[in-house]
Formats: sequence, structure tokens, C-alpha cells
Amino acid sequence: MKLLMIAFKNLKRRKLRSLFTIGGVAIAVAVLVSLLGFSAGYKKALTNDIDKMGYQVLVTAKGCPYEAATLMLKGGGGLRYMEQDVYNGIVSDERIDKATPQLIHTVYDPDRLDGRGGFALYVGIMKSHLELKPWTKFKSGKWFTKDDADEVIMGFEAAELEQRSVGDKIFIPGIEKILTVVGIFERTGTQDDGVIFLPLKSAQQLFDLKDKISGIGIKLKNIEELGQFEEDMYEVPGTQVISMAQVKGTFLNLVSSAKVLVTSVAIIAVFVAAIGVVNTILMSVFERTQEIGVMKAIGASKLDIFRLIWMETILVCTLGGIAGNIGALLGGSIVERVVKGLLPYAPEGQIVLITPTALLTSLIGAIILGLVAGIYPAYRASSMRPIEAIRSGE
Amino acid sequence: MSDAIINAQKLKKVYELPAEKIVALDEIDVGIRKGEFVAIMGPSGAGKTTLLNLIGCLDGPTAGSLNVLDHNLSQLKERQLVLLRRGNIGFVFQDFFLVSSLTALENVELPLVFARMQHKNGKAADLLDKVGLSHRLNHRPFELSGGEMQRVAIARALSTSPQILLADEPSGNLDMKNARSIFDLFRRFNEEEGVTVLVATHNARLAHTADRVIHLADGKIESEEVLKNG
Repeated sequence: MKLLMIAFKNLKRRKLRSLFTIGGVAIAVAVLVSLLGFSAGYKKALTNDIDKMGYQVLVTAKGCPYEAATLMLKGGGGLRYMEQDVYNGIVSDERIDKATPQLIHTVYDPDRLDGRGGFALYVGIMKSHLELKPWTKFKSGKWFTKDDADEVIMGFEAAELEQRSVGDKIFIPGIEKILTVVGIFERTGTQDDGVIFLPLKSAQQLFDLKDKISGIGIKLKNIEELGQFEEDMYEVPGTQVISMAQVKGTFLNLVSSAKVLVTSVAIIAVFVAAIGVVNTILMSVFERTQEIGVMKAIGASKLDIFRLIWMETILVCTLGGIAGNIGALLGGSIVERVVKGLLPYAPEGQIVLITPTALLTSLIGAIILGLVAGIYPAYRASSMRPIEAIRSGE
Repeated sequence: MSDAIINAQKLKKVYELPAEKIVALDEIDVGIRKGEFVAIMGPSGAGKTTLLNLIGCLDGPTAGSLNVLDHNLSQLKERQLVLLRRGNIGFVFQDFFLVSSLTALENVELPLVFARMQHKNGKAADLLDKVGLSHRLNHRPFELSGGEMQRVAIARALSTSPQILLADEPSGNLDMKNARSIFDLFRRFNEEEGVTVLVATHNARLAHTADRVIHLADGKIESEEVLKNG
């Protein structure tokens, strides 16, 4: 027989009370697991929503217009470039999930717009462009055959405007170069629809901009690091950082609100559970005053009694933790429905994501709760003087 | 007494209550030899329980000296007192004080758990066999009669093979038949195992089964009767 067995048997002695206390801990743990699951799931679901928006940060050469409308207002001019080495330097940053360089160039075409003339927007890209804009699908054709191929892929509107299809040849006035259309993208509803894409290397050669790029689209692994990342990017000379400020703000607000909510509710739940555990164990200690006195008389030391009562508390909390985990797993879908009904904006997909980490964290939390909550009752029990404790029942 | 394993000189215990001071033991001299079976008699409040509690290291004297197994108790720290009690002294109480959540066997094993002697768990069953309860090993206290509970308590007190057994009114809650069988057990363990037994009792007939009877009254030794010379 071991102390643990004695502790367990003592809990069994007052089954109903022990069950209520375990239930209290289980509810707190289930709330904690659900909230942790919500925090993780909500973040993931929101991140997925953000992912659909493409890159979160655009690093461009200082003063360079980065939006097609601005570019056109500037008469297709005013473009500035930075060295491709900047991309090579940035891409190794561990915070970056994906990055893609691009080279923007405008060419005036007098035949454009039914002979009224206009600027055609050419963008040199790498295949990572598709990873950052995964919604970009081919309407027809495919990706470039080589990194420096004399080929283009046309945005949906650009192809419509010029009545192009795969296999057609296009002529770039001023450059005096003929390129083959190898693909046409589907409509994306973004400014990419009016762009003519070509391999980055080909663009650098054609427009005589060797090792130059206009900007780098960046997606971070953890969007919460966006603020610090932006700060760091400002340090890179000759560049400017354009972030999706509104999206970032909204996202960070939502995640922060969720975190505050989760933390507050979890703290309250754990606090209430801790009070319940302390109360139950303390009551049990007072009821067993005489028994504790006798245990001391038959050889138990202060430490033995402390360990015994501490074990009881830890047992209650551990069992509560296990029950809470099971409860959270079984009730996850209900919580999901309730939370989705309550949230003003619920992202798509699962927003209560109960992960093994959340389960383990909560179980460890419950054990720590037991360790802390057990200290006072265990101390009270171990401090009892045997004689007084034995006499207490007289 | 040169061969005494318990030796008290001018032992005094005063309980200071808010309203009064109670002198439970008033400078008594007591010597108990190894292997002796001693009964302590006296009316309620005579100091019997106090004397047993002091000898059992459960309480400290107000004045005087008390040596148990060559240890001057007033010089020992709490931890040392626990170790002395744990390894050498067994207790039997009037109200049995068995742990209700544990079986008879587990109750007897309990001191072995505290003494880190779980490897001797087999001894618990042997002891229960010796006290005639081999058929009650897995019964919980509420399933046992008063006499059976006290026999479990005796087995528990002896599980760590103590040299001294202290019993405070062990027959107080038992009928005469059970009380007699409890004293028979004390005598048996005293003779067969050499355990020194000190029993506080009101019952004169039972007390006279001991080797010696010490009569206490108002905290003082009133008289002594030697019934059997060791």
C-alpha cells in the first residue's frame, strides 16, 4: 500500500463531495480547453481568411507607386527599383512564410485602346507569385516554360482587351520584342486582371533592368508579428513598407479581443475551481482531524501528512482535468455552434480547434492547480499537534 | 531503576487553560523495565493518559526528565521524536481510531507505510492472524465488531515491531469478554515478543493480570502493586 492509495481511498469515502469537486475542476478545465481551442481555431480561421487576400506586406523601392491606378495617374512613370539582393536578404528572415519578388514596368502602346494609345502594365514574376495568390487559376494555358522564356501570361481583362488567346504572339513597342502568350488567368477581381505577366528574368532582360526589382510581396508565418516585421523593414535602406493596414488592424483587434476574452474567462474559471478545491479539501481535513492525529501517533511525520493531503488535492484536480478534457472533446461542436451564433463576424471553417496542445496544457494546468490549491490544506493538516488532534473528537 | 527503558524523574505536566492551570502530573518518578507489563490505574483525571502521551512522545513535559529507550525526550527535536515513536512505540486507543476508508489489513499496514517498511507488508497479515482475524483481512472497520476493531488496532500498533506498546483504556468500549481477550493478547505479545506493555485502565480485574499496577490519583503515584517479579 502506498500513500497515493490511501489518498484515493479517502476521496472515495465521500464520493458525492469528491465527485462535485472533480466536476467543478472538470468544468473549469473544459472551459479552458474550449477557450484555448477557440483562440487557436479562431486565429487559424481568420488567418485562412487573410490568406485569401494574398500577401500581407509589400516592400517596394522608396517612392515607387505600387498600385496600378497611381501608376497610371503618373503617366506610367515614376517607377523606382531596388536591387534583387534586397529580396535575397529578406527572404531568409525566419518570420517569413512566403515571399515573391516582382518587377513592374509600363510600356506605352500607341495602338492600345482602339488606337487612342495607353500604357500596358508588365509585371515580372516568379512561380512563388502563385503561392501567395493561390486563388489565381489558369483560364487557359500554363506557366512559363523557362525562367527566362520570351513568354507572357495575361490577366483576364488584358487578354479580353487585346483579344488574345494562348499561342498568340504579342509585340512590345519600343522594345521591339515578340513574346508568346502561354497562359491566361481567370478573372480575380483585382488589378492583376489588367496585367501582362512575364518571367522575372525575362522582364529584367527586356526592360534592361538587370538584378532590379520593384517590390517584394511577403506573407508572414504569424500575422501577429506584422507590426515588428514592418518596423524591421523600415531599417532596410531605399525601401518602403506598405502593409494591409486595415486588414492587419481588424485582424489584430479580433485576435486580441479573443485573447482577452479567453484569458479573463479562464482566470475566473480556474479561480472558482481553486476555491472549490481548497474548500473541499480543507473541510475534509477538519473532519479528519482526529484521524490525522492518530496517523501522527502511529508514525506519520509532518511531511507524510502534507504529502497525503497534497496527493488528495492533486488527485481531485488530475481527475477533474481528465474529465474536463473528455467533456471538451465531446462538447466541442456545441461550443462551436454557440460561439458562431454569438460572434458578430465568424470566419469560415472550424473556429473551436481542440488541439492536443490545448488538452495537454489544460491537464498540466489542472495538476498545477492541485499543487497550488493543496498547499494550504496540507499545511494545516501537517501542522496539527497529534494530542490536540486526537482530543478534538472528545 | 538501572535496567529501565522508560525512566521518569520528577515528571510534571501542567495544562494552562485560560481560566485555570491543571496539574495533570505532579513530579512523579516512574521506571519501567524492558519486557514489563504494567497497568496504570486511577480515576478519570488522575493523569493516566497524560503519562502515556508523554512516554509516547505525543506531548512534552512541563518539568522533570523523561528517558525513553535511552533518549532524553526533552532534548529531541520534533523530527527525532517522530522517528523514535515510529520505530519503537505502538499506540492502542480506547476508541480504536481505525481509518474507516481502509480495510483491516490496510489499517495494519499503515504504520509500515509511514515507516517506509512496505516490504514488510506480509507482517500485517501475520499479525491479524495472531489476533484471530485472518478471516477479516479485507473487511472495513464498520464491518467489524468492537472487539475485532480493537484487535485490528493492536495488530496495527505492533506492525513495526515496537519495543513499547502503550494502550489507553483499550477495553473501555468493550464488554468483559472482549476486554479480557484484549488483555490476553497484550500478555501474549508481552511474553512471546518481549514487548513492554503499559496499559491505562479503570478495570481493576484486568489491571491485575499485569506484572505491576501503578495507582495514580491527582497526578501523583498513590501506590504500586507488584504482582509478578520479573
